[in-house]
Amino acid sequence: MIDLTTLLPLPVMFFALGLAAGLLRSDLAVPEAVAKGLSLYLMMAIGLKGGIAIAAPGGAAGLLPALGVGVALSFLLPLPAFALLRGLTKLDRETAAAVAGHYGSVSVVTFAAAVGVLNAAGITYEGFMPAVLAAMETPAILTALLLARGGDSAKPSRAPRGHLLREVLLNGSVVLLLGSFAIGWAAGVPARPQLAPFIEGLWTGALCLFLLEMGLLAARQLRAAPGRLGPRLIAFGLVMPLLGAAAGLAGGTLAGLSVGGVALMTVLAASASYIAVPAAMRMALPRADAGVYVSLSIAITFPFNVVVGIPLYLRVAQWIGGTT
Amino acid sequence: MSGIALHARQRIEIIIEAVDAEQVTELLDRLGAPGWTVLPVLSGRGRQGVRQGGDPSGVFDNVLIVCIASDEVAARVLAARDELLEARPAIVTVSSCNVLRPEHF
Repeated sequence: MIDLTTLLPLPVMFFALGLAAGLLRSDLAVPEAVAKGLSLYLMMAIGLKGGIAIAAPGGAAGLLPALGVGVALSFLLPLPAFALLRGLTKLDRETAAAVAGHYGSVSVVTFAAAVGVLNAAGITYEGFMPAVLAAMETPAILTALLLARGGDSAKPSRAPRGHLLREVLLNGSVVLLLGSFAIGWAAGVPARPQLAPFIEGLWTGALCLFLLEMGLLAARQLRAAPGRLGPRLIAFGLVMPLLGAAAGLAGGTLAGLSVGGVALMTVLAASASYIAVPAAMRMALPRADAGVYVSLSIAITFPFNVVVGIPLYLRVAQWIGGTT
Repeated sequence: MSGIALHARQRIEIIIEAVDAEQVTELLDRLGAPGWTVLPVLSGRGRQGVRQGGDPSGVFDNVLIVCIASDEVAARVLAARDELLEARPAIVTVSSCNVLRPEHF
């Protein structure tokens, strides 16, 4: 008998359940505090696992090229995104720049879902990838701000620079990811048995529950989408992850990563932020339409990546790596 | 009111996006407000349609900032309207109220 979970991973099934429940207007809801707690758990577990892995002998080999590729992708991916948006859609400059910033940055939950798929398939990956994830969160914000400003250098952002810098550099997800990574690194391999029930045992269940909430959230954004997203914007939300994925695939291969590592780099480049970047953009670019970037990221690109993208990226990474 | 002494003050209410709340409370502090209270907003409808929070990034959350102050402080807050409002979507109202303990406001 075919194991259904190899075709459709458990977390994806829960995502579909949440999406269906939300679209059918069920009263199913994950309390906001639970969703926030789960998101903290996922970031902490990702960081700790990465830190412990890097502390093992040889665990850091190849870290610098991967970090370099990740940061470069985050800086550069908003450029084609911006060009596509300005060419294809009627978005104003500020909104196009804000959307482009989301596509250079990354989604922790998409990364977590990809890690779940790799674990289930028994494919190993470089333990330092969470550090690459954290490094890719913010450079895109800077590119987006430069794109928004364009030739008009006199247009200041309304937020005092200190507020914005704090939002960008000390964003909660980056602090928790890097902090847990550092703690895992300091504690090293001996900490693994103590932490295993928490960071490994609970992982799949927590991811399922969080993806249920993401399904509900995507449904909520989808219901609001018709007023916010035209067909061209929706097409952008589907094409841009593929473009990012191609760049991630090339970059990951160039950095000499394993098949699992290349797959994760591809997922990172294909994903779009939905926590850190929206908050920074709302502060820095108040005239940009938040409805567009939040809906596009959560209702279009996230579901696409989780359901279609991750298996596709993994298959291509395996094909290029010669393991299938 | 049954012989209890009450003291006239101004009640300033500002509904603003949660991401901007800290800038507004800093402005109130700078203008001499004796204090303020920030309350979460569940949902609302205005010129741009229905607005409801709960998004993970918090960009759709609004808050209500309440500040009870003297006439002088209220006048200073209203005079700073450019800094207070800028490009922000916001609702600012001022109404008269009475307080029991004037030394606090």
